[in-house]
Amino acid sequence: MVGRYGVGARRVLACGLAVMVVIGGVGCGSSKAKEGGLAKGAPLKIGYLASLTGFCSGFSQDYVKGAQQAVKTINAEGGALGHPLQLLVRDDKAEPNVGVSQARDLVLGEHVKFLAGTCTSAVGKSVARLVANPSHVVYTVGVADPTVFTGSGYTFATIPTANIEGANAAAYVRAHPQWKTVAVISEDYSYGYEVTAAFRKGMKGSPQKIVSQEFVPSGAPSYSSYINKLVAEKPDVTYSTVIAEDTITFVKQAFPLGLFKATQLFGILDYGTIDPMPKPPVGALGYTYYPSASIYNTPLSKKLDPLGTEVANSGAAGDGFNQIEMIAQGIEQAKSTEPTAVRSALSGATVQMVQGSEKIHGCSNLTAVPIAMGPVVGPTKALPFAHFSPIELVDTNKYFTC
Amino acid sequence: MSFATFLDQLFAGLGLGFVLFFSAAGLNLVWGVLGVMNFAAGAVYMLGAYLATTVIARTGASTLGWLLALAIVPVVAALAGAAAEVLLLRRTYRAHDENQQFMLTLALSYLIAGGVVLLYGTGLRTVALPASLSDSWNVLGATLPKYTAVVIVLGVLVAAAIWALLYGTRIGLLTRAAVDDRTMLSVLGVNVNRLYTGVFAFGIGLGALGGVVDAPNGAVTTNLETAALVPAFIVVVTGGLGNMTGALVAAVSIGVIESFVTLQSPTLAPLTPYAVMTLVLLARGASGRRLLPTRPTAGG
Repeated sequence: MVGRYGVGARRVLACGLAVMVVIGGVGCGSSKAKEGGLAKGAPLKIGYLASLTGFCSGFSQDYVKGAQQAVKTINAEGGALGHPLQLLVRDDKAEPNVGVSQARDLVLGEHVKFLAGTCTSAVGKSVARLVANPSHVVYTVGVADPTVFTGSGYTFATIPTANIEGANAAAYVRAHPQWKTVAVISEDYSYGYEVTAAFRKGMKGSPQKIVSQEFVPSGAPSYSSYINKLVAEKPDVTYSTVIAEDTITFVKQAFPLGLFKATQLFGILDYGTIDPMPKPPVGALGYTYYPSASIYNTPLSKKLDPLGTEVANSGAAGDGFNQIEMIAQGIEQAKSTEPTAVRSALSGATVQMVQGSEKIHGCSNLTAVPIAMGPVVGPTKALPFAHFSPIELVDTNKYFTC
Repeated sequence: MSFATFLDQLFAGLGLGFVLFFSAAGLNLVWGVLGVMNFAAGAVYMLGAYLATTVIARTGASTLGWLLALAIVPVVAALAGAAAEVLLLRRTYRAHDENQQFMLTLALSYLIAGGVVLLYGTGLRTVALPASLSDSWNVLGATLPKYTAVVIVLGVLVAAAIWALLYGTRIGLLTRAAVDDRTMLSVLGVNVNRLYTGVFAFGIGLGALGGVVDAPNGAVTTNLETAALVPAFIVVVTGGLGNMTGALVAAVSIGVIESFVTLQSPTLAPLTPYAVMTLVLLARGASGRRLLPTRPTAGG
């Protein structure tokens, strides 16, 4: 036992020294970064966090492909301010502690000044705290929890947040007065709670009644008991914010339990989740920030074409692409690779994205990309995967209060 | 609550309970008999689901294809498990070191997960059910999805087969004897090494079977590894190490209780497995029994 305590004490001492070295390293790194930028033509490293394993791993390969495609096209056009971009991809396992550890290693070990990626708000929030202080690293990410972007100043969203998503969903439900009763089903983590709160706020004063509210666990093997509850309640519409692979579990189990006969399903249905379903929920009303890139027909959407129809239109690839583009355009606009200058340039700027020319709202660092909405249809000749048709693009600028 | 709603939740709970049983059965057998806490159990479960996507992609989403996946995948996994036991795990029995077994099975789980990512990528995969199993029956006003019924029946059959194997055959007798005294069994001329290899391979096959059975329920992703492992440990701890009947009762109880709690408080329902495990452990403690039964190490 004494020996064990001895080892423990040595470990504590070693850890303490390591922490001191790391803290010292931060200080040195910061001062060096302030003193001098990159040499002319030197590669500019961008750390990319991808949840290659864990929750939403099913999406993350496409995020990486989109980010890599952005790097490829930007480098082909001369790089950012003459610097070729170099992407360093790390697996954050969709776990905040792993994400922060990887981000810290990228910042301190690889000396990156720019970070992007991850697909969960939980990881995004932890990394946003890390980059705010003392590292001063610009971080672009497409997660929906608004608290990720409050107070940091260095974290920029490539999508609006759950507040806007929920407000838009409430406006959509209110525009359908024939729906007298509404059920809400969300996931039991920060995104689910934020989007539900925003939806309920948007529904305040409406004669439509929210008859039930369920928070389901992420990654559960079965949602049958929750679906049975919804079927028994028979709400006119069920607003679902179940996302990622859980959408597949939910929809697959909903079919035989008769959910689609008992209620109208409305909610987030990313193309990346409805496409792999053996039987997509045709007739459900879906929305997503990233429908098929091809509908935008913008200069940047065309740059996704080499990824092939499935990947280019998966949504996640578009988001990954936009995250890198935002950094590169920020560098160009700032005419500097210093994160503080890039941060100032991006705040309130208009950037070119897959969707078109979009504004980053300076008060929140959120980008007002449109929300695509429409009924789900099966694959067609033009779009050989499940998608929305007809599709409506909702301008989200109207939901910003600044 | 109407009778139909009661039945709906009962069916959903039984379906969930047997999925939990499938995830826990292999882990329970290996932990209970060999004393090896197999941290690769979740990865094996995930591998089973991925292999099912391969078999069904090649044979088509027909009843035959699904049956082939049920037959082939566990056998392939069991053979790989036998190889892993002979080449790697067997060495750790001699050392009587559970830490080695823990680290080894953890390493195996990383290897399996890495192999799956290399072979299949990290994209979402799904398994389509045969048309004959994709709708539901109306049972006294309640809805019973046909696949849920299949999972329940299959779970009962597998539990009965394990029980019959352990309590109705000579191999089962030797296996139970090995739990008590491996050395004595060896002295009596039984090839204990071969017995352990067989038990480990069978446990791995069971784990992979769980993945095949669960695959059509949702998406097949690398997340299945952790999604299966944590509930499996809860079921095994609640039911008692190596106690297959206990694991079955624990899994089905957790599934059914969670299903009915959903009706009253959907937000609290996911806490059900933890609550049941805590209550069972408290009851064991209060009755003066050990929280986890002791067993001799695999070395004897």
